[in-house]
Amino acid sequence: MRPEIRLALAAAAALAIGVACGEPYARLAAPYYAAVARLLSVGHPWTIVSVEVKPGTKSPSPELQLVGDVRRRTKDLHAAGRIISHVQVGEAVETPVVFWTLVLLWPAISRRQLLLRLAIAIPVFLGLEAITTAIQLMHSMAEVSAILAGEIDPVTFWEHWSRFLEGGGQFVLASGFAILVLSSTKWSTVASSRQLCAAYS
Amino acid sequence: MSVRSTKTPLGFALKFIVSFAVLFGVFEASRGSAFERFVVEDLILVPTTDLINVVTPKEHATLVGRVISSPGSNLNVTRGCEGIEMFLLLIAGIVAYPASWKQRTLGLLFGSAIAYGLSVARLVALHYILRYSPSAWEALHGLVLPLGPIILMALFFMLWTARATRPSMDSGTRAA
Repeated sequence: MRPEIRLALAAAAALAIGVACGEPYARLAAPYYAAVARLLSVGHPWTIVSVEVKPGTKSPSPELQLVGDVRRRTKDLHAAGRIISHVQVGEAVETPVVFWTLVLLWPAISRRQLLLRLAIAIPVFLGLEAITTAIQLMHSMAEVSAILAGEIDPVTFWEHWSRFLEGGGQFVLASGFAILVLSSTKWSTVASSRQLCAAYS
Repeated sequence: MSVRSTKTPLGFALKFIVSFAVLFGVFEASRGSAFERFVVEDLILVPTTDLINVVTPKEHATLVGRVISSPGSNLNVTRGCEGIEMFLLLIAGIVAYPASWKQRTLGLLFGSAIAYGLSVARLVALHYILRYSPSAWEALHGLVLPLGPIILMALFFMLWTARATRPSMDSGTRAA
């Protein structure tokens, strides 16, 4: 089968899976997003209260919602404001759909290479989820902090990153990191084959 | 210009990410300028509204700022929804891939035409979904309509790379 046709079929199947499994995936991933958000909050006057899939604020469709408290200073005990930020379930599932379609679609020369590829892909994917959906969920906390610090209409680094993700960056990162995984496993397989040949010669 | 066939996929991925980030940064810097208004409003939103009215004259769609408004719906085209990312992805992909300038120019010309058509078609589809099937809005707006056109662009890019690589094989044979 021609690669373009294979990609088209795989993409259609991935989109269908993404639409059908968007909500279950978001529910499954919510604790991970919460853990990442808590990790990123270290050193900031932010407290992550919850990350859950809930009915949308503007529509009945479910969405990922982060509830967080923002304090004026790190040592303050009481929150100066509470934020509720949300990401559409469809947006949250974009990263896994693109990343795993590319990683799994690419033909592997052996079962060993496929396993190695999966072993590298899982931590890369977790990192990718942290810098995409998790940051999309919590970027408004930085904005609230800046407002509390006296800035008027602040555009923080987090906001710039969020705009980058919304403007196509999420797809670029998901596909770029997938290619990175595919390249690294290719090199690893070649390197280990050479070592094996050297050992037997 | 000869084609450099020694590029690795990793090199392509890094160049693609960096090129996209630079292009995105440049376009973001132009937000609010006459150029940005011309691209988003005059080149994308006005023809989209006109197309809706040509296909379905009863819609009486009008463009109010960046909202495609009709008696039954108001489609607010926000940052990241205009379809600009398809052009940026196309340019970044073509810049990152090793090809001759002729192939790059052809890729940009044909690719831009496809990206433009997809951008307008996507907004038209969003208008009709919002108007006639709001229950399908979330699934289509959140995943299918942002990603579908990008996948079609990726297919175009694959076809272009297959075509752009062919001369390098020919030149390689001649050189040998």
